[in-house]
Amino acid sequence: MSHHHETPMRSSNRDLQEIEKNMDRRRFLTKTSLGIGSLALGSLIGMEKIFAGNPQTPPMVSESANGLEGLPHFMPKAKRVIYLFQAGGPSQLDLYDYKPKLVDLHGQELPDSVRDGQRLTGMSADQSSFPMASSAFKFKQYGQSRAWVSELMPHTAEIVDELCFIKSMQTSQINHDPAITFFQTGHQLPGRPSMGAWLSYGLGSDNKNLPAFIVLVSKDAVQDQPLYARLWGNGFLPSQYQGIQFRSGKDPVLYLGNPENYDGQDRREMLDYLKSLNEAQFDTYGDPEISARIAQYEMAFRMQTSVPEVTDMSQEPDWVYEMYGEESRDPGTYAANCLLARKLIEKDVKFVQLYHQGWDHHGNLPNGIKNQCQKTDQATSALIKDLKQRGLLEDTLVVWGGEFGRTVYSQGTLSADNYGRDHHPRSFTKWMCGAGVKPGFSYGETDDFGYNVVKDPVHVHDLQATILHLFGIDHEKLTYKHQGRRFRLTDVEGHVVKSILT
Amino acid sequence: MTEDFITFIGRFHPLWVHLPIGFLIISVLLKGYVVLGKKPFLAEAVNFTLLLGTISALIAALLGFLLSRSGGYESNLLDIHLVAGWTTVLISAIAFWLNKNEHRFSKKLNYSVLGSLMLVLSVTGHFGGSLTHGEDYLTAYAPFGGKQEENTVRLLASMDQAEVFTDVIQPILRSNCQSCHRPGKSKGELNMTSYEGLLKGGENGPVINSLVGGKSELIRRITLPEDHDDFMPSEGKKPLSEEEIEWLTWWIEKGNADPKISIMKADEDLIAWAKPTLNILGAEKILAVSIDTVYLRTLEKIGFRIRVLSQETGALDVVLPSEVANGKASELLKDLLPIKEHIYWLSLAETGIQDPDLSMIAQFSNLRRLRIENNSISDAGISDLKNLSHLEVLNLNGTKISASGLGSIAEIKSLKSLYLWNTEIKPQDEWVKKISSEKVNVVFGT
Repeated sequence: MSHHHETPMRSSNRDLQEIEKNMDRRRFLTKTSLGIGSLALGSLIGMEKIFAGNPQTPPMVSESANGLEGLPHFMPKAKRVIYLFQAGGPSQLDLYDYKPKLVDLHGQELPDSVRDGQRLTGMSADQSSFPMASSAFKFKQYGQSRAWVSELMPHTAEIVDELCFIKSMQTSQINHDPAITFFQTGHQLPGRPSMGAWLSYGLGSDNKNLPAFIVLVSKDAVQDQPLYARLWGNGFLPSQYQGIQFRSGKDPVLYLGNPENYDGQDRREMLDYLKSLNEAQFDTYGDPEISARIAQYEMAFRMQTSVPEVTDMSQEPDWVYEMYGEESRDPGTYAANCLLARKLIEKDVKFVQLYHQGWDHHGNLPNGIKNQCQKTDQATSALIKDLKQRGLLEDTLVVWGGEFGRTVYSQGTLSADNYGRDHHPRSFTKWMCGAGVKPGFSYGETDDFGYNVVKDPVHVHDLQATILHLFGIDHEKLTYKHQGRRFRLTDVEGHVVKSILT
Repeated sequence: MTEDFITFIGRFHPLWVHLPIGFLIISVLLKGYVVLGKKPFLAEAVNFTLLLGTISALIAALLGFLLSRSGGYESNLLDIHLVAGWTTVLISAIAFWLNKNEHRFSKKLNYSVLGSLMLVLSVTGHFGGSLTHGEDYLTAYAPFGGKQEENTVRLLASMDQAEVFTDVIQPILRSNCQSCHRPGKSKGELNMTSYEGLLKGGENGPVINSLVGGKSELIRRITLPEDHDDFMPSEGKKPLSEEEIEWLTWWIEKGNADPKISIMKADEDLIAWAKPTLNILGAEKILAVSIDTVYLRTLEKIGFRIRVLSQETGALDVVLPSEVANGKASELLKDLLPIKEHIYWLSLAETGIQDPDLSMIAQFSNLRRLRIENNSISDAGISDLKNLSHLEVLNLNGTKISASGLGSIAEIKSLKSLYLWNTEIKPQDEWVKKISSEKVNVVFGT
């Protein structure tokens, strides 16, 4: 191409330049044999054609909305997912995992045989005593499934016959950030693609006017533990597959409106010119991120109409707000995000990820958790009911839960009506609901202390494998080659939990 | 230059590869003749044939690379063949150069490079053969491997002719167990090639205890942790897949290890898994082939959202967004007729379809899920749907259906969920009681 773009690192040989453009260094090194082959053929056959068939070549803009060839691997049950992530680690012992024997054991030392030498966090490891704390809240059985739910979740109690509880969740991470990163990306260290990115990479987008993966973070939560954008990041996948975070407020995406005195008539033309410039740049450098950028500009253009439309709440009748709770009138709250999630799902957005922080109750748990439940219980339940009546639960999966559970022993002193609980990765409760998951079902059991799993453990990778399975994906086959290795969401583990599937 | 032309050139690979094989082998044979037969005057011929070998190997590798672009090859084998192929090119070049400069290096080095050239050439050739003829082509009829006459799956006239033992269990045992448990090898004195052999069991007693209950020895062995001494298949062979284990368990426990039990008795999931492995006359597989992807792209351009649900059956999920329908849904629906057999999920929510349009939808005989909510359609149109014999989910929210209109819906035996929110039908209506059951879930608003 033109000599302006030459850098000292680039070859002056035209054919070599072509090779350099089409491969980054690492890919070149791993595919040296192909490189040599193509080089010799460069003068015989047009280069682009050779690389067009190469599966490693990042998809061009026009194809980015479609999924990978060969996917789904089998008939899916789920078309979309809403993941209600309760960041901080909600206490399973005070919400869903009812342990009546703890009432008698209240205040007694946690037996060493139960703890079994487990290494605790630095926050409670130095405690001289580990008194067990029974929940301060009353539990009752609900629905035909007779599921135990504490009085903290009266609205969720109404929908237990729709839910599939997994009481035997386990993770390998004991602190917030690695544990959430592990849940969302399959690895505790940053750098891997998130589940939503994998799904949108593998299956593409059903609605080309909206991102396939949208993230909503509650503004009304106690933001004691940070959330990082890598939790919805694309990792090493092309960047158009990352989650798009909608801002928690009235204007979910900034700068979508046209500036004053500009009617937007020539916006399309302007973007077409920009696109041709970017394409010229792509021709020269072949950097896959340039095509990702083109795709993102196009998406932003379409979002100028689609986002105001989908976030317009003025058409929702009053009974909807009453159902989700009055806070749902205030954009950016958990309740409003649940309502928005429903609207996004109606538009066939594939992955809607909610985050609600503030479940990290090391001390003063009874008060803290009450507050959390008040902000989330009604809207969560309303979302399920609303999806159900609209027929959307048939192909929408809803997942509720945090990154780990909380300890049976009290962190800090145990008083008559107060206690705290530390992080507990060995057992906690999550629930799923909707597409392809058994309704009114409970899976797995913990011991009488709620400390260890005694039946049917489900590890984080198992849950991820199961979610992918519901989308018709064999978790072992959805891979991406990066740095010489084929990576997958479930790393080298994960078993589909078939027992919870319909 | 077109993809087709690349494929055209690539297909010369199988023809061309025999040249480097011949050149390189003759060069090594010549080398042996020169050294052992003391014919130094032929030394130059070794160089010449090695050079020919190198050049022809390079061309073969390039042709092979082009051929691999056309796809359709098993990727593991392809990767090995590809790496081995390029290694052959590299080593033959090195061998040529070393041989030419033999006086500068040790003879031993030269001989060992020629030796490894032969080795890598064989490896390349072997995997190339495996790619085209199948992995067990070479050994299938070897005297030491045991002949596998029954390797072909029998042809069935229809799905319900399939028998669990013959058409599912036998193939599973064949690919996982029979290499050790067969007449002539019979490890653990167990012969798994026949039903009688299975029943007889091995040196530790029976392997199938279908009547005693509990886990059969066979199931226990294949479900143990992989590092357990008793785990089967032993010696690090590939463990059985979950579905294979499920099938064996089903056959022994639910099917009483009956050698003639029909496949139709098994669970839907299991049948679905086994289906693609069966060889059924005129089976659904043909559907997948007949999908016209170019036409799908056309439909997408019109504004339909189309998703492939299953590559196996060619099942599609089709959505007509209401903003696309925009008053011309009836017209647009006609565009779906060419792919009507493929549509398994269909959403026409809020598209303004009318009663007459439903007679067209009634032709979509494979429909599993149908969303026609929020349209002004009534009993007259809805009665057309009663012949959709696979329909499982029907969303009639916000339609004008009346309680008596449910009569035709009740005829859909496959139905599992029915949505009647925002209709005039009440949960206490007689037809609702008649239609809702253990199997059919009728949903109203909350």
